[in-house]
Amino acid sequence: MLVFAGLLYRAADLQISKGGFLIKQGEARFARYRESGASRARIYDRSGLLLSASVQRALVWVNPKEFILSGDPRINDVAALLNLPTAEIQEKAKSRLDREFVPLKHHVDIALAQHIRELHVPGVYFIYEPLRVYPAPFDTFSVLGVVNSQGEGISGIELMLNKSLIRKSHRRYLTIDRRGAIADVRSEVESDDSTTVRDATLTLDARLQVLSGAVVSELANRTHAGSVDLVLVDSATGELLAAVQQAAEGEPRPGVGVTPIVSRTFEPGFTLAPFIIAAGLEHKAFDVADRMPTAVPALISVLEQPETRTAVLVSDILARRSKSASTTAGMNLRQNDLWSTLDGIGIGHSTSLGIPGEREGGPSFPLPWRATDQALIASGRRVQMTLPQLARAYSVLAAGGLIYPLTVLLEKNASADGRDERIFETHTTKQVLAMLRATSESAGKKSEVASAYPATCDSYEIIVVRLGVTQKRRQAVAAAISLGNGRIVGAIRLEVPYVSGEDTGLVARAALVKLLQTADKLFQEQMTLSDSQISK
Amino acid sequence: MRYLTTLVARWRLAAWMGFFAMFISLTALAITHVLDVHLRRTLTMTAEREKARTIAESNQAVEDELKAAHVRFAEVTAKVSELLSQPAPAK
Repeated sequence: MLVFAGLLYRAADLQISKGGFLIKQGEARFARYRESGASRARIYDRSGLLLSASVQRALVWVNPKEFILSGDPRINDVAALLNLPTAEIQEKAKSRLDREFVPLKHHVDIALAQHIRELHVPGVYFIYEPLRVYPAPFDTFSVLGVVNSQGEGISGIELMLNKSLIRKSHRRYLTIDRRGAIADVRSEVESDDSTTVRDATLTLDARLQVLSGAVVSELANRTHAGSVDLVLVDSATGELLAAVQQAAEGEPRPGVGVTPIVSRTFEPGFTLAPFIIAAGLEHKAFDVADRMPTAVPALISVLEQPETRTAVLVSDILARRSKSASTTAGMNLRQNDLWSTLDGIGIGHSTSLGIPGEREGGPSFPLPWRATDQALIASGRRVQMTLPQLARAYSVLAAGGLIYPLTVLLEKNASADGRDERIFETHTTKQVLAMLRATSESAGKKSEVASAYPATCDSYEIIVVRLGVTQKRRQAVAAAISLGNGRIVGAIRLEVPYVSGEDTGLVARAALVKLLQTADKLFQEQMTLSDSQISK
Repeated sequence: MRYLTTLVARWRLAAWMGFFAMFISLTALAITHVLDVHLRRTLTMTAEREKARTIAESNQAVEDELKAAHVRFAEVTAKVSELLSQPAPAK
């Protein structure tokens, strides 16, 4: 009786007072959360063309002990279905007998994985995993970025849209039996609020993206360029139309969260000159008919190739590509006016694109500047900016003095009315555009490579290009404005290790002209940018 | 003595009855458990098979769209190559 009483007490003790603890311990051994992997929504371009989508695939895995012990001859069938040698699978399992989970093959078709499961080979299982697929990976990789094996974006727009694209990061609460097989599905937990998830439509134009990729590739081949970046922006709305980045050979892959197109800064050089002139005209520091000396003694020490010691008309500075006269113009500005102009065109500020890893750049020296500091900044050196910032700055000229925040999301831009800000008066930008227009006929003959991209502009309302070369870093930067069909502003950065006898700035400029010419033809033959937007 | 014999007989009977009752209960419990595990496993397999079928169908829809996008990109690439290879207009 005493023994029975003891047993009864012990049973009650285990069931009632220690029940909760024991149930938890039991579940800890046999119940598992399994992430099904994030399923991402799709990404479309502005005309509704699919740029990126996720499909579910299977990861086939084995429990090595169970798998090896069974010695099932159908292992050969599994190996054949997975297109793997049987010996390799067995070797993999044998070498990791201390583990319970050994992956055999990723991204297996679901129907095939189901077929493998129905063979009921002991120790062979599969779990679902996402696979991100890009219809044109080479054309879109540099701006869309990449996702990891869990389906989470780790760079570019994929990283930027992680929160809104991840659809079902759900966890399945399972009971696993001793062999690791699923004995019961207890619950499925949606860990994210799926109501906020929707497909994303970007402002990117797939045609311009492909065209930009082709031009960049051709340019890189012709000039043996180390790396080339290119950005196209709609000047009237601030929409990013295309962005391409071609890495130099041997350049390490960008780390997590880094998107080179928005994180790489450079010195804009002479591409800053139109804004110096616009600032001077705006603040009445000088007039178009004034002459700018090109031999200020203070400048000679900081400029690598001072111009001949003659004065240049302000209206001719851009056409003659006179770095000295442009710098002198910048020296004539009050420091606050020069600072506010650089600040106004977005240098040192985010472009609002929202792509993670974006750098803001800015002048290297805080106010007040010494004369040499101001000269260096006015000459486009000791100022850092990104390519989207340069494109946005040129958009200010194209948009009559208004600056728009850049955007890459079409729906975001639809609600962006009234976000523009006036930087220059319209008549100032018209004066600068007229100066730039006069420069568009001079290039294209000075080098063999540049002549491959003749800078004709007969079919355009306006096409203007400026270029700047920072020889210290052996790179060229050019920006172009097309006020024809598309109102496109383009900016290109080209890094050339060594090109004998070539003016890399001219080469970059010529490539931009070629791109805008071809874009114009593309729009004429197919649909215009605005039609494309309407059809969406 | 007779009372004691009757008492033992009753206890034996009760013990046997108890033993059989326990045997039947345990057997029923074992059968129920086996059936439960089998049923759960079958249901899970059916659910997994159904899920795999649904995912495969969903995949097919996405893959069709991807294929169409791929074709469209190929057309755009061809058009771009054609336009880029055209000679520039004379000045």
